[in-house]
Amino acid sequence: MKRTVRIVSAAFLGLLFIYAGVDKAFHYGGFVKALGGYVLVPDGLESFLALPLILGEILTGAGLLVPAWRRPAALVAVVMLAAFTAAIAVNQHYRPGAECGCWFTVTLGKGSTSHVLQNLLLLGLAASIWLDERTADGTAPEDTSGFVPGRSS
Amino acid sequence: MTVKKTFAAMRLLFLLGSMLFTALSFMPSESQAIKCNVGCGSQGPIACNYPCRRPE
Repeated sequence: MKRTVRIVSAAFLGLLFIYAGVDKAFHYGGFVKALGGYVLVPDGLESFLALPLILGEILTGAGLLVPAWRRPAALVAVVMLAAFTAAIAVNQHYRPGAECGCWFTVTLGKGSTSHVLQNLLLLGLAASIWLDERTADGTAPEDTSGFVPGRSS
Repeated sequence: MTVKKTFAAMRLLFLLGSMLFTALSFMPSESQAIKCNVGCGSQGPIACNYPCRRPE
């Protein structure tokens, strides 16, 4: 069960990142325009930021699908999702109704609270994959209480 | 053991929640879709090439 959840989590997040990146690449002009609508993106920087973001998403997605690259890819996914969540949340407050730039093929959606919630859940999923991969390496403290059963001090 | 169980439960929650929200985002509501049918044919915003091309 644990192994299944582990594989499904990584596959789901990996495929979602690849889909999001490819979708943006196919709608490059629209994505640059949507990036320009973000309060956190300085004016004029959107055209320089678009390509690295798209490549970052696709590579992160591919990394999540390869077991050997999963741990660093999950960490990059955490950082990217945290940045996306902050960007959408700030826009939601200061520029409500601005384009999300999330799923061009599916819809031309506005950034909304549901996008923030979705990103937070994806952030949690990426963090759990990263923690789980640390555990697999034997480096994660699963129980940090310091209590060792059967040992008295 | 409790930490492990909590972690597993949280992870399952994140996975199922993400899947649910992703499925919902594939079913865009009319209120969320940007009105840009102009010049995009009769299929509405979903078939529209963003940013909408205005009729020449």
